Amino acid sequence: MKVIVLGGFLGSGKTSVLLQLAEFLVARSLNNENTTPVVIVENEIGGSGVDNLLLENQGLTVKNLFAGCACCTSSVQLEDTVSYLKKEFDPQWLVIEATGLAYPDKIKQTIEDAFLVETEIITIIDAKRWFRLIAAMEPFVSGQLENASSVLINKVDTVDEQKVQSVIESIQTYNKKLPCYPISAIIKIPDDFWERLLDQRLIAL
Amino acid sequence: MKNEHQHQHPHLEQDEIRCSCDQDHDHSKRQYAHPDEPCSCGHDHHEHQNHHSHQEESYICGHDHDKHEIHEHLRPKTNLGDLSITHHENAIIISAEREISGEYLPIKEAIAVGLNGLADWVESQNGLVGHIKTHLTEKGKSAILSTTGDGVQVNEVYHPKVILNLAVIVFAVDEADLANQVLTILNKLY
Repeated sequence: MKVIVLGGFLGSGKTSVLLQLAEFLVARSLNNENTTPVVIVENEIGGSGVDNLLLENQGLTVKNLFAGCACCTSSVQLEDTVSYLKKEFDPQWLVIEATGLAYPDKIKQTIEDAFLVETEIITIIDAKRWFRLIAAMEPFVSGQLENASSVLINKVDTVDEQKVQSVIESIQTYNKKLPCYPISAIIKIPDDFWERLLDQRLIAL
Repeated sequence: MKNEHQHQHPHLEQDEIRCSCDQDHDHSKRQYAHPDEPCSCGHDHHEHQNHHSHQEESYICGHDHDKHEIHEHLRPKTNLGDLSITHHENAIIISAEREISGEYLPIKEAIAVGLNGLADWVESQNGLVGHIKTHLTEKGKSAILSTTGDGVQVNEVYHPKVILNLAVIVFAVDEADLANQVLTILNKLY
């Protein structure tokens, strides 16, 4: 089981990215009857979910973790949930969609400590709102970049190229080696993008 | 709101987890000299009420509570109508689920207008929208198909309705005002 944590602030487009990532992983996974290609853990801070309904309607296997944040208040439940999913589905890929209020690094730590599995963080940011969020809550938003394997700068269709470049520069002030990839999750993300993104971090797709 | 004889807060289900105040309760003591005065913790207590099912736990107010009452912070968070309101860090989180009678398309369009207005209202209050999301599911068609061996009878009914799931996460606005804004939008859908 390989684990990907999809992090990023509220409204950054995590679910839209997840839909495409899951579709890619399902298509690329080995045809192994004994395992489920992809299982998703959907974490919602509120008492009921919205994103999980969309994901379930796509035919994906989704386990909900509601009313708490997996990086802090629900970290114990996260461990229990992952333990159950590993036993029940033995998925090739487990994708955890963090709440927009989570520090993905803490989720990664929880998973790695409990299960000793390779865990990568992909942080999604909203190109249009980045500077506003940095101005309003810089420690938190920059904290979501900690230990990320890569950053997907989403919604580049809503800004010009110069803004994208300035967002990348801003992100890399926190970690100058952090790979940043402009995307627009409302259009199809090519398979070769996912292959390159995951190949560089996760061995043996 | 009172939940007598039960202690439902998650941390009461785990004996190892202590109260956030990190103090011990003494169950032999009364809480208040003047029961009508508010507790210093800001929670609503009854003079014979108790926070905990086990004595090791305690609360920041430093008061004892009788076991027949659940502590304010053990109760579900604020509920305004059918809205569930919780908090995390500085965010106000509102969620709701409703079944609305009516056709999908006009309901979808009315919600789109309502959510846009809600986002504008948050901005007008110098707040910050985390996200405002709804999921809609169309329902309403059903049928009974039956036979006694002489053809199949079909009885169909159509009562269009939409299941709406709502999640609002917003920063730096007045909670009651936000809840009222959300309720106004939802109540217009009927």
